[in-house]
Amino acid sequence: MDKNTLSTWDLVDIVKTKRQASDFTNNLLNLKEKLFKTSQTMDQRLSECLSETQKEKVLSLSEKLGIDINDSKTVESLILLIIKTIREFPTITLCLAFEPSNEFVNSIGEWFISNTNICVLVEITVDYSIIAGAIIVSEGNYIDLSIKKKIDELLQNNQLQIPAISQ
Amino acid sequence: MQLPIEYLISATILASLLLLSLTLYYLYSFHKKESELNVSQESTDKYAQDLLLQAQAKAQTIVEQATNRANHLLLEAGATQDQIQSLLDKAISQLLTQYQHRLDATMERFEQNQKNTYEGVHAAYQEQIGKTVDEIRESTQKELTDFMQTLQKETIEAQRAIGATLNSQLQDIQKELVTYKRDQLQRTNEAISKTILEIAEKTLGKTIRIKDHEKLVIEALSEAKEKGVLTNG
Repeated sequence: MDKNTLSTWDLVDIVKTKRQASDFTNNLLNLKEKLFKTSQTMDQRLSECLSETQKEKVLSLSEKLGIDINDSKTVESLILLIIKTIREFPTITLCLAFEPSNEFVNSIGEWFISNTNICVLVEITVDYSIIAGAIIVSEGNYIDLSIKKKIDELLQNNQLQIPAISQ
Repeated sequence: MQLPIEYLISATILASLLLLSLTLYYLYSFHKKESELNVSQESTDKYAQDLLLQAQAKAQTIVEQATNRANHLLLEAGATQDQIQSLLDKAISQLLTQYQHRLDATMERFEQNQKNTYEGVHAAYQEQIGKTVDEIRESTQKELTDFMQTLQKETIEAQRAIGATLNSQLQDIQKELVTYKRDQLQRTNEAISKTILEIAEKTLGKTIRIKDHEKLVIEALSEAKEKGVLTNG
């Protein structure tokens, strides 16, 4: 890995869902706005705009990339790089029949890493009508693997057929 | 002895006629003589006149005598008018009877002739009518036969057309019926499916544990990966 670039692997531990990515992105943009407008210290700006984990991530990435954290200009570059990297995450939309816990959402991200070697952003929607399972949308691909779909297929396959009209 | 009345009447009439004839003959002779004696008119005229007068007197006398004689004969005969009338009536009756018989015979013959004529005419008309009726019957029978054949033919054609139309309509109806059945069955199945899904949604979703939900999600992800839906690194 290039020392002066970031990849999704650098952010996978902090950005697992699209919401988290959006939140982090917004906070970074907010921080970027404050870089040249307030007289606060960088640490104050970081503490004010970012969550604890997000702040730690920014600091670790600046250290990794050899960026002076107190230099607003370099920090701005780092912010833009992070945001750019966040946007490189592929998004997986899952429609579930229940409200998943954060742990489960994290486990989904880990499953993707384990099974596809890809860091993804997971977007969760809830639709109780699908009963169970999931409807998955990945990079424009759609597949319905819900229990509702399976039941529907079973019902359709068991329907009576009308014989053809004999001439 | 009295003579028969008829004889007396005939005699009287005959006598009268005889007398009349004589008188007329005499008058004719006289006239002839008169004409022959026309040369000496005066004497002859006188003579003729005298003769004429004599003749007239004589004729008168003869007629009177004849008349008297006839009357006398009539009186002598004692023929009364009743008897004469009776005889006349009898004669007339006999005559009428004879004429009646003759008339009856004639009428009978006439009637017989008429009857024969009528029967002949009747027989002729019967025969003619019979022939005409036979001709009409044959003609009508033939026309009826032709009509029946034509009617039968057209009826068969019409029945075929109707049969074809009915068959076509029956097939259309059968198709519509099958389509209707299929649609109804489809709707029923859809309703059943919808009901089952609603029940499943309302019951299964609530009965499945969170762990089971999570397990089913991971299984879905695995299935999606197998189907190549997920982004591959």
